[in-house]
Amino acid sequence: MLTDGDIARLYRVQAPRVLAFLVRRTLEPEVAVDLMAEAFAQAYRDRRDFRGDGDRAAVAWIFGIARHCLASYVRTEQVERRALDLLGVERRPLTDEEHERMERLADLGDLGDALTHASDDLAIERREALRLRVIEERSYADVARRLGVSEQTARARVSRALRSLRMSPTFIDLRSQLDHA
Amino acid sequence: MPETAETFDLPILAEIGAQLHSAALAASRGRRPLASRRRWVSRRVGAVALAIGVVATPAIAATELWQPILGRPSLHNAPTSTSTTTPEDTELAVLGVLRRSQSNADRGPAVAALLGNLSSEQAGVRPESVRLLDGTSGQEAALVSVASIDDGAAGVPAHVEELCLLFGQGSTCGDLEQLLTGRLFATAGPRQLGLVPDGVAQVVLHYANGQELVAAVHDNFLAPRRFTWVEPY
Repeated sequence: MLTDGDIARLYRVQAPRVLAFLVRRTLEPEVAVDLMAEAFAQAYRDRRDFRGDGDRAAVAWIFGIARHCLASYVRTEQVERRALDLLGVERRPLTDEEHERMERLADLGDLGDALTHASDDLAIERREALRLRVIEERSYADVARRLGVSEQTARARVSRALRSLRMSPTFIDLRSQLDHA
Repeated sequence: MPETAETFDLPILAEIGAQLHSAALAASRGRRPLASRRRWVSRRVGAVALAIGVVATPAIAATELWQPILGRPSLHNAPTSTSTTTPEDTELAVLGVLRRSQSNADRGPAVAALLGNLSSEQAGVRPESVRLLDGTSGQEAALVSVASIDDGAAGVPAHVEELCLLFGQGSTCGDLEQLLTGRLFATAGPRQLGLVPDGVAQVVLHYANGQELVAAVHDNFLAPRRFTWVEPY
């Protein structure tokens, strides 16, 4: 059994790691934050059901919940918010700075070559947005200017491109490498 | 600079953590979740300020024992004991100011004077938890975690795990629930001051005559420097 204090302590140490795990798999910062929050909300809800012993078991339990949330998202394309709704937790959108820091956390820049090959099947507009943002590492403002669209549209194109690429074999292999780096 | 999970301290993480914890605490006590009642404001700027503050005030080696004078021993009015334990995890989870290392300023003369406001009602005072709040404005206050407070009232159990705000004119203490529900505030003469959890960048003070005052938060602490009354009651 875990206490509120145990979960709070786990959150302090493990939330960034869980978030990194999720953003590397979803490639979508907003989605990753929601999944992370739902995972910890479920941990608070189910803390009395934990039967493990020690921190390592508790960390494995948290990551197990996060994997379950991720699998549900991949299956349904929707973030389950049942535990968050039960607790009444809402959050604001990420700031630009937070968005960009999460992209760096996901090591998207290191995926450049893989993206070059894997993006061949994407629509031209999405591929171009992805190339400018991830491979050339330009700011969203710059990407938007070069594509002649709003920053919001540029961000959406990159997000959709990454979502399309998420299940490609090249990506799955790279995600695995990143997790073991 | 590459990001790593070890150095990843986004404000949104602290905000969600504080919300989750306060909501879980309320739920476990059979109360309505708090999220819908609190007004959260982005603290992007606050987080930057906090980061600068941490860099500017180097941490003291954890091994260096600090034994400040607490209360007023000459008047036989001093806490009955101190403690080397850390504050509760639940408090650390929602107060970034407690999670940062103790600095030289936290052990400086301004804080030493404020620690004189502790009294014999308190036991298990944690010197390592003492933090100087808003040390640059001349409106200093100090935060200290205390294991228990017994005011001696017959039939009233001691309060446990309290957070005390010490300021020039006195002190106020409260538990985690008071902190999370916006009730760890004090009025001292012309000043108002308070402690708020991570994720709160501003607090809007509402007055009976309908006026509002927006106060910025630094290091989980707010203390508007001065008030300007624009119309009487």
